[in-house]
Amino acid sequence: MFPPMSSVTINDLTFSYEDSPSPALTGINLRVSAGEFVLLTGATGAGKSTLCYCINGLIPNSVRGKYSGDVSIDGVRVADTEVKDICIRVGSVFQDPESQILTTTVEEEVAFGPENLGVKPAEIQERAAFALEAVGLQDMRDRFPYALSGGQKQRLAIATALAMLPQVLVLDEPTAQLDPKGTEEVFSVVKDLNNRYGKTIIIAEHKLDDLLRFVDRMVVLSYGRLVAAGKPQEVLRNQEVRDNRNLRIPQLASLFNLIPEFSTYPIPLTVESAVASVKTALGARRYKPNVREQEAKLVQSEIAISMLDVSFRYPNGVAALKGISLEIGKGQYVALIGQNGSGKTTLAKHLNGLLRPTSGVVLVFGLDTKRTSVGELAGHVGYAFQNPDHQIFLDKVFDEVAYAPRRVRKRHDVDEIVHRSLELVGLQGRDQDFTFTLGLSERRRLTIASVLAMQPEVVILDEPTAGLDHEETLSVMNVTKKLQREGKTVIIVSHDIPVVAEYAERIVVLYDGQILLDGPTREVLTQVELLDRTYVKPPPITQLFMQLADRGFPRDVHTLSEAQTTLSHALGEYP
Amino acid sequence: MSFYAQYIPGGSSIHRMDPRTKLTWLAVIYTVVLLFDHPMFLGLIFLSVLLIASLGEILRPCLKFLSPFGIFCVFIVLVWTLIFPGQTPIVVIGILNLSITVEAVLHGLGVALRFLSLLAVTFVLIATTKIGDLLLGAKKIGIPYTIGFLFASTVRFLPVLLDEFDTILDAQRSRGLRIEGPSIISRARNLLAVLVPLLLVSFKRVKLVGYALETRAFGASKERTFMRDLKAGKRDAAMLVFSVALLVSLVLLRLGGYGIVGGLRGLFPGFGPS
Repeated sequence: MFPPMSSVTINDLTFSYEDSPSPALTGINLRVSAGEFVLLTGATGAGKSTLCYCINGLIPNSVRGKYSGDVSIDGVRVADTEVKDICIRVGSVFQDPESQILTTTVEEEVAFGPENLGVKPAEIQERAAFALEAVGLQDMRDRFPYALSGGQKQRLAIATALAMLPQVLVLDEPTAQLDPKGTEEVFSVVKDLNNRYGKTIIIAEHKLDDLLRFVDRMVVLSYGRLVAAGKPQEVLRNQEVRDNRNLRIPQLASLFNLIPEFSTYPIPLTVESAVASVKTALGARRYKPNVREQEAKLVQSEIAISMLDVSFRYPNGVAALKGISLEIGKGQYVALIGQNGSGKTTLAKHLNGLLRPTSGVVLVFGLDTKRTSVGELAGHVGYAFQNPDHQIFLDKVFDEVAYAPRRVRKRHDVDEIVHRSLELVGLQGRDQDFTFTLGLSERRRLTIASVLAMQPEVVILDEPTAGLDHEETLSVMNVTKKLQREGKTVIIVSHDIPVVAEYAERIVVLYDGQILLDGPTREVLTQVELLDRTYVKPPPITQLFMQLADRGFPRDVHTLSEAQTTLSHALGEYP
Repeated sequence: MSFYAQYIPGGSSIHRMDPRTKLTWLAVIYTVVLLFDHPMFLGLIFLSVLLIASLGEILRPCLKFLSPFGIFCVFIVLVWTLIFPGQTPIVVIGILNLSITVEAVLHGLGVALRFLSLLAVTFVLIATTKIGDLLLGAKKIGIPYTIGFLFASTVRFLPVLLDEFDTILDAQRSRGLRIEGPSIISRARNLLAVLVPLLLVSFKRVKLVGYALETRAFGASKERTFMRDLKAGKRDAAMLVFSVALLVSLVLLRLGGYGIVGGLRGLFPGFGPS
């Protein structure tokens, strides 16, 4: 069956990058009709970006490789058309907001494309006005784009694409570097472009929880092949998709898949529909709490780090922390959450002395960070940054991990420490591998190993799951659990609320340089109103259970396994 | 660290000035600072640039931009004080067979002020001019758009690069790497730990910027248009009069033998007033 007017047609597309032995895409067939909203999803390396580049023409026009098959946009073959003639048909938005900004004001940025095409000035002004209006940046035309928030930068990138007046928009993980607020902004603009302006949307994304409800069709890629395509509800029931360990299935869908009683219900795409289905399934049944109810309490332990009325002001005058007092016990697993600019990274950087308080005191195992060098503190507090590219600089895995300890320890000790660190992060036996052949999750674990090699008691991880698929997320997060079992204090800075809910035992929420909430995970996650102030939403599962409170369910369910047992318990009690 | 210049949005008369006018002013300042080495004249030129900066409502950021170069200026003055041949000694250090002269100190101060003036005038141009306007202005006086764009992009991505440098430095220090190492060799090796990642992420970024340029049809049409044309007005006339008057009067003064610290005659015979 052919759609009435085909916008993008992909026939038997196979592509291999020049320096790669195996194809990145194999035998892809896909038709996207005008006005359709299509989600591309799949594990890291499954071919999402490659497919985006094949549609916007960067492949095969700029990126070389072995190309066969055919992609056409409204009958125009991409392979025979220059990128400049494709970009008026397909607009492109990329992952990294910074690299897409080329000029000095928001308005100039939007005019840049049409100017390159030689469009008449009066028309450029009309296009710029339209594009900025469509993404809600009309009041910011004179702003310096570099100073915008991440979400605004990506909306600007969308506007620059729109100004070329394309029918199709291809977005390659546009929210990968955004906080939840920015992500929400981008999704709502994209939905709007689809609804109000009838644009065809093709978007590659990992964050499915908030996106699925807008999507007409969901396409799942795995190892370069298209394994499923269709309505999200159908695709999420597909056995092959469910068995795909790499795919990050939305929490509510996983829950419905896990409980046999729900097999006849549609997969919920929103919390509301999940609540409705669960209530129907329950009928008159209620949840009877049993004795297992856990007390939400943190184990008291010795203090590892304490902050006393800490304030910090950057040299440019911005007050980033305002009177923070915080104690972190030995062996705790703490998550710092909050929007970009809330101060969470600034706070984390105080814990290993990268930043020193403007006023107040930070004590790390009794050492005042004002009087201790970062080098010395690295033996107590290890800090792995988000992007492994910022840290890895040697060829061999072993050398990379051994680099810092070699300077302070004997050779024999170093060997042992390196092997132990690699084992902890699950990279044992890989010590002679070349660092540049590792994938993102392996590189991230490698940076954790190099931090561990200084044998710190506290390990801080900045956005440990950013850009990772399901399987990779598990591999990194299991390392953190292992570290805690080893007696280390683990602190993660993260936007990934479901992951935080699953792993952390304590959450500290920052807002405008102050601590908004601090407590055990299950307590913090149910403080909806306070969380809302900083645009943090509890995980979908917690949202579901909070709305089931009238049926006797505990409000603070926050992990998938807990949700499964609680619901099964309620459903099974009165069969 | 903020030793880079970038556009600061605003609506001042300097912001609204035709970029060609500002380019003319820039050329005049670049010329006149080379004519003199006397700190009084260079000081006046420097003050005139700061005056324009304050008209552009960017005096404070301008001074902030200049401040990290202060150390470097002190260094300039010191070096010239020691090596410049002057005639009027202030202090004589007998053991070292060294005399510090009035001319040497003056010359050193002059060179430092020349350096600051060049930085300030460039800063004012970049901070008050939208990149599109600057490139259009440059194009109208004969500099091809793509070449101008290349230069502009360098200026544009410098802050990003410096941010990245800071992040990498922090990341490496966090895993126990001491950049402030004991010996020069170990310090150089540790510097590699910062430079290698910086180079790699920069390559990645260049590729990404390339994609952004291509998908926005950069270089697609020979007849590139500009959304807004340049408009020169009264303020441009005023600025041009100011620049030309500055140039003419300073050239005349220089020809009249003013503004050169005596010692230069010894270094370059025939260069000073006879």
